[in-house]
Amino acid sequence: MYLRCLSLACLMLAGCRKPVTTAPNEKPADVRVSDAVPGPRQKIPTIVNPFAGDEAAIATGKELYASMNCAGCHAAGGGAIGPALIDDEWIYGSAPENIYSTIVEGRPQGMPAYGVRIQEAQVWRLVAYVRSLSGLKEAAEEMKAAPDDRGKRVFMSGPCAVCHTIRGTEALASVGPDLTGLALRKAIAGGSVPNTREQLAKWIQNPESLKPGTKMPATALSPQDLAFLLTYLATLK
Amino acid sequence: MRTSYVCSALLLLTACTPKASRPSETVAPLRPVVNATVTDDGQWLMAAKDYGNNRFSGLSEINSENVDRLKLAWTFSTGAQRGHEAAPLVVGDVMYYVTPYPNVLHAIDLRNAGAKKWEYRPKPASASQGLACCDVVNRGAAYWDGKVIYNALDGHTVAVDAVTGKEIWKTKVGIHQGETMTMAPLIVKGKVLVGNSGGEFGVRGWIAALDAKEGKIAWRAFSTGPDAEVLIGQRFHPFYASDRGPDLGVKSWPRDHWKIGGGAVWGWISYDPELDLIYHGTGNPNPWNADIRPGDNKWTSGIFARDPDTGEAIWAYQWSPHDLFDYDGINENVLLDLEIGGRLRKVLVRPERNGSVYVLDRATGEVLSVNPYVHTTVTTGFDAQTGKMIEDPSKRTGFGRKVTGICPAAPGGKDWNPSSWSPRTKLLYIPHNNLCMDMEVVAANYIAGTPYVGASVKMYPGPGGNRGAFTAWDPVAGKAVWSLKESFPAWSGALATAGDIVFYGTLDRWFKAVDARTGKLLWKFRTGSGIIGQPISYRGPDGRQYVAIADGVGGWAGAIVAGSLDPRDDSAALGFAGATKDLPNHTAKGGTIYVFALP
Repeated sequence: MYLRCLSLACLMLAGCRKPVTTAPNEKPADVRVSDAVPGPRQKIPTIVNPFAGDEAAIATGKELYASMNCAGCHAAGGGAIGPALIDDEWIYGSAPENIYSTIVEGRPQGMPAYGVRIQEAQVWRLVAYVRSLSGLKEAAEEMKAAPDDRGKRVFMSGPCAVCHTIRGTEALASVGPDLTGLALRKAIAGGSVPNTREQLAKWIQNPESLKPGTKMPATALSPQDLAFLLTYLATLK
Repeated sequence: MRTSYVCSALLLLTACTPKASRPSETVAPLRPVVNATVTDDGQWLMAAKDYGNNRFSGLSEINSENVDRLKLAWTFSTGAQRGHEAAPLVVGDVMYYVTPYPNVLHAIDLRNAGAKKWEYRPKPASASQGLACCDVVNRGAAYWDGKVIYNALDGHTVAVDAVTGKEIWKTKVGIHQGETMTMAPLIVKGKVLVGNSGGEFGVRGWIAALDAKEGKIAWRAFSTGPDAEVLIGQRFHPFYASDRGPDLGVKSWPRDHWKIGGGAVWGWISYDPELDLIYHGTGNPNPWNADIRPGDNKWTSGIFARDPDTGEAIWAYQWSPHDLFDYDGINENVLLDLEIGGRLRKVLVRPERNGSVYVLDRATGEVLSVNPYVHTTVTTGFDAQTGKMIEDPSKRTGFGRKVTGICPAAPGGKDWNPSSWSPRTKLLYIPHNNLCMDMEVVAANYIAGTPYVGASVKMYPGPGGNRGAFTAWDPVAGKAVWSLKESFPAWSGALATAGDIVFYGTLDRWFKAVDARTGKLLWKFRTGSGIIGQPISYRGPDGRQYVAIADGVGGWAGAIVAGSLDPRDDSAALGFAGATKDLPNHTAKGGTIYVFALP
């Protein structure tokens, strides 16, 4: 329980701002492995994998799957000592938060508690890969199809809006470039880097690595906030 | 009488001599010997029945003339659903059976058509299920002096009062992360001999002796490491030059790799009371990827002869030095006295995982003959000078290349499932595989308590398309006398009887009796689940002969069903699923003991 609380609490640490997605993250008990509830049904809050649908993250997740010896028990998803992952049977749930908990906490029939070994952001990448094995990528598509305002809130309440403009929003600063229509651009970082989700993530977190000497400051965001932000930026057309 | 017959009888006698002062409540009255030529007290006190691992029942009431009339007498559900590999024991009027995890010991009343007497639960740690490479199996118990003694999956050995079902002692024997225990103990001169499993988890193999009275550990011998820990000393005289020299268990490995090098002792142990030696095999080296561990990797994939009192090694030999293909060396060592080259020799017959039947001089460790019993592509012959197989270099695995057509596959010519010897036909009855594989080695990251394999394997049927066979083997001539094809790998034990019939079971739910001389199918029975258990025969309280087998598919071969694996992944179950995709069409999980008798 301690590990899970700790890990989920980490999701909320995004500078000194208030957490963006409040309810689910403040109540880790809402990671459920059962649909049954005593009394009237209540809406189950969803926790979004910050790397859902991120192909680069899924590729990293696949590498972790090999190096952490997941394959030793689950093979290439067909299972061995542990259950199959490419089928549609999930003992402890298939939702991202279920798989996250399974990896971090372990499970009583032999799944080791990998929370002691794998960083939280890496666990989310592993979750994205594990779900992709059985074609569970809906979350990503949902995010692309119907972006909510969480990424926008990260932009507006964080350091981004202090420097940038997005026309038609409250962001009107002129320290950095105007980001209106960002998603239509072929390149970022002064035209030196292709405008992909992965490169944009790097640019936000560690701009020096792409363009030494840049005035763009490094911005620390939680993996989940970063994912929301990237999804929002992708809508700027 | 110049062959193994005498020896068998001797071993039987020794094995069954009730140092085992059987508890008065379960003592059966002395009964006349059915077959005057073979001594058999009608009991089954250890998984292999006798110290020589012959698994021969001297009872002949059920024989080749009448076995077609064999009928079900009673059944007993074990309550477990994973692979049932254990042999039932029969002591007096009670049958004992150890289930797969959670390793429940059932005591069953033979005077009352299989009524339940009691059960004992050792409550092994649930997490140990995640450390068992090839299903959470158990291969059975052993009886000694009023106690039923066996291993629980989580590394405990337990002794249970045979009358009351109360725990007498429970000892944590396991010492490594990633270790389990699945083998059936052998009890010799008051010492309970047990070993570890975990050859896919980077454990260091060992065999230990526990005092049967109190469960205290008397000695432990490792399969790798310095001589002092392997218990190699002044009395060690291996037959071949490459096995001589100090600390080979360290020097035949890259620096410190012996600490995670494998050589688990998860198979069969036999005992020769005359030479006063025990014989036990050692498992595969870790990881499967051999590029990571240059050297002979002593003493993995081999065999030790040891003094049962002290554990001291007397000789050792490696079937597969620097094993490339997961050829564990833990199969049964069948002790026989055979006339070879005109003289009677004390031999050890070993249907080895690498695809050949070896005949060894069991006093010295000299290899007397090696003959393949399955299609073998990885070796081309045997070098009598070095005592080593001659390898086909084109089948050598290595980083960056996929090797195809490796025969036999990783589960070998045969795996753990024990053969049976008949002193009447002088044939060894071997249930086995006919599998080949493609193998590619990949990086292996050692994390204690997680799998350490480093290979991707795909298995498929060998020549002929049948994935298994049941073969009668003449160890003197070094050839098969007859062989029956089986669609699936033959993963059950065998039982030969004085009625000149042989019993075995199949993954697709048949329990069969065949003529010991011709292999002709005489009788078969459809069980509920596939069979990977060890058949036994005993004389019941009513004086009649019974045959017992447990069903319950699983083990490595049946993992696809027992673990509900997905057949779309050829690499599932360490590559075995690719060769058994259709097994779920033939059987579901189960766990029932079936007992048969003539009407």
